Amino acid sequence: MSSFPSNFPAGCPFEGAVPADQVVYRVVRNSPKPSSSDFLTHEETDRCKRGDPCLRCGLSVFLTFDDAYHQRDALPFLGDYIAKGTLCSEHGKTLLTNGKQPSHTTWWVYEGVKREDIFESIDERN
Amino acid sequence: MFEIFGKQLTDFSFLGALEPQEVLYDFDGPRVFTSNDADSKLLLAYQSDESAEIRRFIIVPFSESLLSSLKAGSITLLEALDQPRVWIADLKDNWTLESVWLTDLSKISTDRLPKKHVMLWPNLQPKFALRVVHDDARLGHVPSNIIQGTIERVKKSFRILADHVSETLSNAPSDIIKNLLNPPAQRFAYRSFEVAFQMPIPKNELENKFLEKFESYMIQGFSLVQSNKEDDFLRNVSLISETDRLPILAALKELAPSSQSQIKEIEISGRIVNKSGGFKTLTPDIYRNLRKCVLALEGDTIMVKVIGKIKQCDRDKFLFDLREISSDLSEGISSDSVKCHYELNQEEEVLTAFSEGHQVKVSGIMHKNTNILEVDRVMRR
Repeated sequence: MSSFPSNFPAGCPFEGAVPADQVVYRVVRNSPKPSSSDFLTHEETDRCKRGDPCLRCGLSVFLTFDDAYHQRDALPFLGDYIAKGTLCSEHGKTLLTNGKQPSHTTWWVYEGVKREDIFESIDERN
Repeated sequence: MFEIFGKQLTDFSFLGALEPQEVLYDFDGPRVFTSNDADSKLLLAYQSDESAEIRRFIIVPFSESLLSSLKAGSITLLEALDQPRVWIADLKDNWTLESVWLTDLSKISTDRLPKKHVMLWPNLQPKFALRVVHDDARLGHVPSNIIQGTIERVKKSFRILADHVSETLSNAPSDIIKNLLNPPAQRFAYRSFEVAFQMPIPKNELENKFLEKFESYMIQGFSLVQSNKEDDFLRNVSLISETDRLPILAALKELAPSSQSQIKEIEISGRIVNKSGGFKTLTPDIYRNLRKCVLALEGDTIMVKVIGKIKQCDRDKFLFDLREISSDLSEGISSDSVKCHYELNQEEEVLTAFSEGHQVKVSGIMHKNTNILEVDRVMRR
């Protein structure tokens, strides 16, 4: 049975998160095969300690290519490539956490999932 | 982390604590936000780099009006950062300021700045934009005829496509057509002359269907703008269905600059043209290819090759009369005089032949109804 890491705070993932079942996009630094370093949460890198503890345990992804494209061009330091992956229920849970980015989604990954194996880079900066 | 070219400041208390006041772009933390400086004046902060311990922000003085423009998509993210004073601030993970430099936007590597077309949020990216490259258009000086002409191009082009979509739908929605023919301008830029448009928002399924079809025709048209070579162009044209070919080409022709218009080129961009923000360039060569195709598709035209002498020339209308025609060497011509319409880039050859009186071979397409030969090539014999 899949489970979340034991260091997730209580009540995390948030209520409303559902088993993952969608195509998602994320800006990454490595191509053609993204690396594990492209898919680390703030909790794993010990950064953004002021952020929400549950969101720090999740990975930000987009449901649309357009949103990822926009982010790549708006914040170039995040990476030159866009990785696409198809998530399924074995990979964790997701919740639409959109603010100004319409399809921003948080993905809480089950323990042991090799995230980089789910994704492939699909587009270079042009 | 990128190298900083600027003056490192010892006292940067004037920036305040850089606490986000309004987070404008959040992605695993605030990436773009406003803050108040020590005198409660507005600042804009944009994250440009990071390491394991540091988040590096570009900080600029800002104002409420600039903030409104940024949030409305009237200015790009890069334009928002282009302010008289620019600082780079390194923040530690506990959000304390570690170092600050006074610098200049031009000293920051472009791969650490937003791309020039990017708006703050994805939904603000214009659907369609035109930038006119014209000798008389520069920052602070754009003749009104360029502005008017550019808007007219778009309206004419949209009209052709809207009419075609209307023909294909049994019940065309009139409101969306009216709005399409008066598209809302999102922003103007005056470095050359640029105008960006949004598409009207469909209010029902029928309007949505109309707009989808309209945009799909635009996309097909823009897919032709890849190469100035006629062979490549014709190959791409053949990929468009025969029913849609003429309106798509005619609409694109309205946007392209002819060689007589003094517009060197027109850059088209926007989400319909290229999702990644790149632009395509409409040139007089593309216009010429489009014109030939449109004329051929409209019918009532014939290919003509004719040899004669240029006897009269109207430089204002780009017309000349070809006379003393060698009937035995000409194809498709029976009269002894042909009115020919030429392009600006052919003018030198035309005027030389006119002044020297030598024979020329002219080829092109003749309109049967007007009997005017649209000159494709003019060569000395």
